[in-house]
Amino acid sequence: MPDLKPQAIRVSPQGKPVPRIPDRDLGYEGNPVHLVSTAVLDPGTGAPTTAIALREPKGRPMEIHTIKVRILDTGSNGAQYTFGDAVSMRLDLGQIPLCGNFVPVWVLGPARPGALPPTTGLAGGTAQLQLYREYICKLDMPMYVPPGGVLVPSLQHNGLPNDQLTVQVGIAGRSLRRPKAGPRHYPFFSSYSSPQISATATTASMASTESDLANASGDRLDVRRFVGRLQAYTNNGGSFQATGDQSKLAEVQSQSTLVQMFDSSGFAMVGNPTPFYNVFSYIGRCWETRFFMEPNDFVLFSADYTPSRFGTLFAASTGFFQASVGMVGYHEVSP
Amino acid sequence: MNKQAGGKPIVLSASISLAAGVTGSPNLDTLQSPFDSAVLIDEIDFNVSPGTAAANIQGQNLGAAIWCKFQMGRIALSEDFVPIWNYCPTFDSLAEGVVQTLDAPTSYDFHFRWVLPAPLYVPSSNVLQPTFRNVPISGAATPLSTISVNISYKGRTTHEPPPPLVDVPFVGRWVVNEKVTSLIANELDLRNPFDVPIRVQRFLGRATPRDPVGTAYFWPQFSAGLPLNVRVWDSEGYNIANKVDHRSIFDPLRGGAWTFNSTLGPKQKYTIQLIDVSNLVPGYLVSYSFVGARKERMGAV
Repeated sequence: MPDLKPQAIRVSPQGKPVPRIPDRDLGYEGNPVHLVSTAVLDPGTGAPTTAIALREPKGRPMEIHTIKVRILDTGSNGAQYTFGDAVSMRLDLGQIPLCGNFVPVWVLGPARPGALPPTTGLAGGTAQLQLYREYICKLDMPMYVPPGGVLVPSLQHNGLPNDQLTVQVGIAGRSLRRPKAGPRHYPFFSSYSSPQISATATTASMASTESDLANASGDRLDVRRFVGRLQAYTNNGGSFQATGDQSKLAEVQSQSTLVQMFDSSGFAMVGNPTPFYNVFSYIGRCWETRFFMEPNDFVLFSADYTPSRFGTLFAASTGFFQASVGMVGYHEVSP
Repeated sequence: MNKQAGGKPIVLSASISLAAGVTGSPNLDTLQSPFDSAVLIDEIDFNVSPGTAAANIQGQNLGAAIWCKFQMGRIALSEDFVPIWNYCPTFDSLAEGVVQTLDAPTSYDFHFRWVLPAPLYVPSSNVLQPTFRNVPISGAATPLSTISVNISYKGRTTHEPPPPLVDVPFVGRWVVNEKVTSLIANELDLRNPFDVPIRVQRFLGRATPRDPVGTAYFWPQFSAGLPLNVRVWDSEGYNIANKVDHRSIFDPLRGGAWTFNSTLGPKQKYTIQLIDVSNLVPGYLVSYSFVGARKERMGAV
């Protein structure tokens, strides 16, 4: 940790005075800030969050370090309806593109389950914990928000669970004393989800298009990782849920889901059909990499699903299986 | 992860099924870069599973049943075969074992992810060859007849020539095969066989029951809560850990790993002694390893 106390002029080994590094370049400027906006979504509906809730209170410029999305189901069914596919999100920051389109919140990161204290039933009744899942993205590079600017998340309830969901979008970072000079980096999220594959299907194929996992940022994209998820849902009276058992069964199908991936130049990123979780590590649900994509370049994902090892997922046709891939990168925007 | 951008991302994969006691290598064509370019391997993923649902995977981690040795020409990443689970820390003991089917008998797939201490440069005309061995870990119970392994190399292509000295990962290991009152690693275990130092990244300590225990857990059970104490010292006799509970060093719920971040000199070694082994529930397979990297001159591989 650098010494911030006033000090005598330092001298280099060659005997030349070394200028003291200004505080602002040491990264300690500004104040920490944490802002949260909440939206209540009915099944199949969308809504923007309250933009002013994510605005720096004093109108100062800000850096965002972490984006968090928490999905709560305050009904009786709890966490099994708070899976990452239940809600899709689009981020807007003025004219700067941050998402190709609405992306499922699992693109941000692995789910972290949690619970809040009950709000009802405390006086002798049945206290119901508010179960939730949280998806957190620690940005590889801080995202700059100019003075008066605001990051606006728009949310969409995908209609899989019939429950009303409460979605909290939080940002953590720091406010700055002055606008940031120099180039600024912004995240860019894109995703692809396969069609719903019947739980009793014996074979299926899936393929993304040129617009799914594409660089639509208009700038050169520094891709940092691919996120890959397998999910199975059961139909619980018309409301699809993803319980732990179904999640495990879906993960099993990694051996049955063989993946190939190509970039827009035809380069075989994954040429040999490879089990899903040998591409997107089961531990972390991602393929961490780093390469550049020029504007409008894309990645094609395809997979063949043949659950021949242990038969189909469920005995009855009460659900479906789905493979999904996300891409996370950063692009540079000049001020 | 601070990777150098550049080149194109690539995943190379292969699979092999091995009967008990059999050694073999998968199809190397699919593990070699298909283009006239070298590859920098950043990460190696393993997926291990029984060929069919089996009753005798109950609490046993198949990472102990499949051993692997990597070789690239004259360059080896270990002196001998190493259990797969000794290459990398565990994210979570439960997460390594993924349920295959909820129908009895419950069976598991196992996932392991080894992020190399430093990217491994593989020239365009070469391949990092994995050789696997199915080492039955069961004692009285019938061992699994066939285990399947999927291996994938994740990295990026590069047209850069190799630097004069490249980082080559190295894994030293000690597998404890017998249970007596006290056990100590021998001269060939956990050693640096080279004339150059090894930068040791971490130590790994793992344990699994040899026989089905009827419950799906993958970490050691200690009788009456008594500790399995270990003593660790280096070639100079310096006590790195003097009678410390195994679980406090290699807690499986915290990776089973000990971030070591030290240097093992040329021809030097670490020695581990198990103390109070009688406290360990009978029939356990215990193994230790260190993972690091050395500098190697990349001439004709």
